[in-house]
Amino acid sequence: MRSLLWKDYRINRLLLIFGLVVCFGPWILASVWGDFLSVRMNDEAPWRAPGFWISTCIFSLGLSVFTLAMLGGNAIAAERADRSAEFLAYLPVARWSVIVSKSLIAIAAGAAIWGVNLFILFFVAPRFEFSYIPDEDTIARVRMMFAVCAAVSVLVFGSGWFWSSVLASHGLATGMSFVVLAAVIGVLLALEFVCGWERFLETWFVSVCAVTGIGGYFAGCACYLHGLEDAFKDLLYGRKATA
Amino acid sequence: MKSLIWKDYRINRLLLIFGSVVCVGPWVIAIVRHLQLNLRGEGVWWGPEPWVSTSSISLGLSLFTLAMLGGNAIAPERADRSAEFLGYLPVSRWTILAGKSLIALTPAVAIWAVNLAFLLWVAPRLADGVSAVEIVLRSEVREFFNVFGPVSILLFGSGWFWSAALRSHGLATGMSFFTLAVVVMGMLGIEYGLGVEGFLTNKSIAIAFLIVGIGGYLVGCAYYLRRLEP
Repeated sequence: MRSLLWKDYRINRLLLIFGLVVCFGPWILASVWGDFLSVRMNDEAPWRAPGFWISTCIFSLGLSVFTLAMLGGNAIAAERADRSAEFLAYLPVARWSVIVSKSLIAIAAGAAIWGVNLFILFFVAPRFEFSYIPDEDTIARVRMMFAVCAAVSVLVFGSGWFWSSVLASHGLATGMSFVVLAAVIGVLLALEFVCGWERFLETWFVSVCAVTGIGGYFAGCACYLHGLEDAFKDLLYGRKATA
Repeated sequence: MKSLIWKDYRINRLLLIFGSVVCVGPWVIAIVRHLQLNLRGEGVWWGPEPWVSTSSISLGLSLFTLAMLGGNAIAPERADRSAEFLGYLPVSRWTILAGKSLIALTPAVAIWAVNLAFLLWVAPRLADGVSAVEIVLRSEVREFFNVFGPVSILLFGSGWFWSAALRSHGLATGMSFFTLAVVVMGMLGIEYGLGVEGFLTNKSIAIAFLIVGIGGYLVGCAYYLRRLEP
C-alpha cells in the first residue's frame, strides 16, 4: 500500500505543488496587498475586518476547484496515457488497493485544501479581534458561497474521476469535468426557463452538483474495478482463449 | 507531412468526435424541434431567437473543445512517450508543429464556420420571415465575436502554451481554464483592488483575452521549437 501511495504521489506531484500554490497564494497575496494598502492609505489593517478573511478564503477555495478537477481527471487515465497501467495490472496488487491509494492521494489533497482554508478562517482569523458582527443576511450569503464552492468542487472532482476511469486521455477527462459542470448549469437553467420553475437553479444547484459528483466518483470506481486492463491479463494468461 | 497529420488526427480522434457532437448536436436538436413544431402547426412563433440561442449554446460548449484541443496538442506525445520516437525521425520540428497546428486550428475554424453556416444559411431557409440580414444585425450575434471569439482564442492559446511546457495534458487542459480564471480575476483586481475605474469593459476584456491567447500560442510554438525532449 505504501508503494502504491508513493507511486500515486509521484504521478500527481506537479499537480499537488500547483494545488499548494493555488491554496496558499491568495492568502499570501492578500496579506501583502492588505499591508501595502494599510501603509499607503494610513488606514486600519484590513485583517481586522472579517470581509478580508472571508473573501480571501472564497478566492482560494474557488481557484482550488481547478486543482480538484485536475486531480479527478488525472487519477486513473494518467497511468493509461503513460502506459504504466498495464505494468500495474501485472503486479500482484488487488484493484481495491490501487483504487484506495488513488482515492487517498486525491481526497487527502482536497481535504487538506479545505482544512487549511477553514482553519485559517475559523481559528486564525478570530484572533484578530473583529469589531464587526455580521448580520443574518451576511452569514446566509457566506454559507451559500461555501456551499456552492464545496458542491462545485465535489462535482468537478467526481466527474473528472468518472471520465478518468472511462477514458485513456487525462486531458480529455479533465476537460470533461468542466463540460459536466457546464451541462449541469445548462440543464438546470433550461428547466427553470422552459418549465417556468422560479429559482430552480438556485434551489437545486448545490444538491445536484453533490449528487452528480459523488455518483461520478462511485461510478468511476465501479468502472475501474471492472476495467479494461483485465482484457490484458486475460490475454496474458490465455483465459479468454481457453474459455 | 501527410503522415504527421494522420498521426495527429489519430491522437485527437476522440476529441474531434466530441467536438463535432458538441458543435452539431445543438443544431440537430433545434432543427428537429422546429420540424416537430411545424408538423404540429405550432412553428409560427419560431423567430430568429431560438436559432441565435442554439448558436450560442453550440459555440459555448465548443469552448471546451478548443481548450482540450490546445491542451492536447503537444503534451500527449510526451505522456505516451512517442515524443522521443518522433524526435528520432528525420522530420523538422517546424513540420511537426505545422501538422499539430493544422489538426488543432482546422476544427476550431470548422466549428465557427458550421455555426455561421447554420445561422446565416440554414436557419433563414427553415424559418419563415427570418432573414440572414436580420440575424446579423442582432446584438447577440455581435456578442459571439466579442465574447466567444476572444474566450475561444484564450482557452486554445493558453492550452497550447501549457501543452508545450508540461508533460501532462491533463494538467495542460486544466491550466487553460485556470488561465481564463486568472485573467478575469486579475482584471477584476485591477478594477476594484487598484481602483482603476472603467478598466473592465467588453473591449478591454476582449483585448486581454486576445493578447494572452495569441501570445500563448506563439510562446508555446517558440518553446516547442527550442525544447529538447528528454
